[in-house]
Amino acid sequence: MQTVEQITEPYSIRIAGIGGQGNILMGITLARALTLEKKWVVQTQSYSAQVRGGISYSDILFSNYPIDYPRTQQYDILYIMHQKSMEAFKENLRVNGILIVDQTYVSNIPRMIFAVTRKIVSLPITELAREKLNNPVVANMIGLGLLAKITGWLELENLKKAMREYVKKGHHELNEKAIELGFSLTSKKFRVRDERLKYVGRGFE
Amino acid sequence: MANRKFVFMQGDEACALGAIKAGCRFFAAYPITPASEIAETMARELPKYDGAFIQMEDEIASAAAIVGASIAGVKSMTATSGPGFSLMQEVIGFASMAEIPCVFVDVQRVGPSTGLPTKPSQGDVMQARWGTHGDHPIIVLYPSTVEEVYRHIITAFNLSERFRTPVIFLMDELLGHMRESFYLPSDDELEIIPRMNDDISDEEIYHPFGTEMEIPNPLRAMGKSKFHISGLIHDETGFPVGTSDIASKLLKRLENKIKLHTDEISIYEEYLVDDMEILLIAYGSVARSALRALRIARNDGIKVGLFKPITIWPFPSNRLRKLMKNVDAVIVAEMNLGQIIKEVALLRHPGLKLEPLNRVDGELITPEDFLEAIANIRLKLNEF
Repeated sequence: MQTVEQITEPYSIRIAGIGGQGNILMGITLARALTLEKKWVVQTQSYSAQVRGGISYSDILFSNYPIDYPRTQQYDILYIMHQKSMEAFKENLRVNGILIVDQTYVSNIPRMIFAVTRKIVSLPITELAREKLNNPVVANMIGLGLLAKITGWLELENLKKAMREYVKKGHHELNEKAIELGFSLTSKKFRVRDERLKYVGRGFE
Repeated sequence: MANRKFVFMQGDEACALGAIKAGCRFFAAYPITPASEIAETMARELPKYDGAFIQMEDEIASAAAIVGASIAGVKSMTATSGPGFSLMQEVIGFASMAEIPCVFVDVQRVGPSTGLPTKPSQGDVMQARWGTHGDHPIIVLYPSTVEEVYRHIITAFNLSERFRTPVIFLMDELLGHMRESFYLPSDDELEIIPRMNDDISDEEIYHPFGTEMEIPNPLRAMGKSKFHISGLIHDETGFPVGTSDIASKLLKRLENKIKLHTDEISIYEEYLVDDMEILLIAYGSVARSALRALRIARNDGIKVGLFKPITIWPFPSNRLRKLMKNVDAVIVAEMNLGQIIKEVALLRHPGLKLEPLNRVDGELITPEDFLEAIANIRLKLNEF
C-alpha cells in the first residue's frame, strides 16, 4: 500500500526579460549549478516566435526532493531585466519574495510591489557590464553572481563550472569576471522563504 | 544509486542520448520546433559512435530514410512535430506492413498546421494510432519526465526490435524543452535487444516473414543476405501474393502480434488506487500536475487515485477496466479536446461519472484545474 507523501513546494525563480538579453542561458546555467549542489531541478522556458524583442522568460524550480509539478504561479525570486516583463509578471511575486531588477532597462518598479515585499535589489547591471567589462552581453552573468550572493544558495565555483559547460571556451574568462563582479556588488543577504511556524499554539507545551 | 550519475538534461537531449544508448546509429530528420534539439544532439553525438546523421529535404524523405537504414541492418530513428508527423504517415504504413523496426518521435505542439510552435499539446494521440492508412498495429509510448524519456526511448527501440514494428514515441513541447536533473540509469539496469547483423550463409534459407507465435523472425541485414520485402500482401518469403486468404491471415496476424502481447507491452504507473473513490487518468506532462493534485487532495482526506499510462497504444484496457470497477467517478485530463477519453468511455460501467478535463491554450493543465474538477465531481456524486 502506497502512502501519501508530504507536499513540498519547490523554491522558484523566474528570470524574465525580452528576447536577446540572455535570460534563458542564465536560467540554464543557474539550474545546472543547482544540480551541482545536488538539488532536484526543473528548468522551463517560454519565448515567442520572434527572436528578439518579445517577452521571454526562464523558470527554475528546485528542491531537496523530486519535483512533481514542473510549474508554479508564485515565485520566490523574480529577476527582471526589462520594463515589459516587469509589467507582465509583477503579480507573480510571492509575498516577502525577492525582486532583483536591472535598473538599466527597468526605470519604474510598480507601486504594488512595495506592498508585496521589501526585499528589493535594484542595480544598473547592464551599465556596469558596459563600464567595467566593456561588454553589455555579460549582464546576465553579473546577475547570476548577484543572485548567488543574495540568496547564499550557490558556491561561486559551481556557478563558474556550470557557465563553462554552456559558454564557448574563448569567453570563459570574461564570464567568470562577470560572475565575480556580480558577487561583489552587494553585501545584502536575504532569507528566501521565511519558514512558517510549524506548531501553532505555543505556550501549551 | 551509488553507480548512477546525477545529470541535468533537456528532454530532447535525453531522447537523443537514450536512443544512442539503445543502439540507434542512423538518424534522418528535418528540423522543426520543438524537436530540433533532438536533431542537434544527434548531429553532434552520432559521429562519435560511427553513426550517421542526415538532414533530409523533408519529413517524407526522413521517414523513408530510416526505414531503408533499418532494412540495411542499422537501428534508426527520426524526430519531428505534428505537421511533420502527418507527412511521415505514409511511410509508417509501409513500415507496419513490411514489419520494419524503427522509431518515430513526435514532440507535440499546438496544432493543426503551424499552430503554436513553442507551446505544448497532446493533439496527436489519435494521429499516432490511426494516422496511417489501413488496419495496422502500432505501439505508442508517451513518458512524462526527462528521466522517463531516457529510459523509455530505450524501451521503444526494444519493443520495435522484439515485435518488428514501427514504434511511435510521443513527447510534448514542455517535456521536450524542459531541463531536469535525474539519476542516469546505469548500464546494468538497462536491457537492450540487439539487432542481428550477421551474414546468412549460402546454405541457409531465411524467410523474412516466417513467424513464431505471431511474431516474425528477427530482421536480418539486407545487403549481407538476399531476401525480398514488399508493401503488397506477401507470404513468409516476402514475395507478393494476390490471394484473399493470405491477405486476411496476414492482416490478422499483424493485429494479433501486438494485441496478444498487450500485457507485455503495457507500461503504466498507479498511485493510491487501492482505496480510491475518484480516479484520475493523465499521461505525458499532464500526469505531473495530476500527481500534485492527488497529493493535495489526499492531504485533505479526499480519496483520489491516479492511473498514468506510459504505453498509450495498445491502450491498457484490461488493467483500467479492473481499476474502474471500484470507483464512482473518473476524470480524464488531456491537453486536447478529448481523445483518450473515448477509449476510457468504452470501459465504463453504468453509473460511472466520466468527466473530461481539457485545455488547448498551450498551457499545462494545472493542479488547481484538477482540484476544481475533483470538487465539481464530488458535488455531482453527492446530489442523491
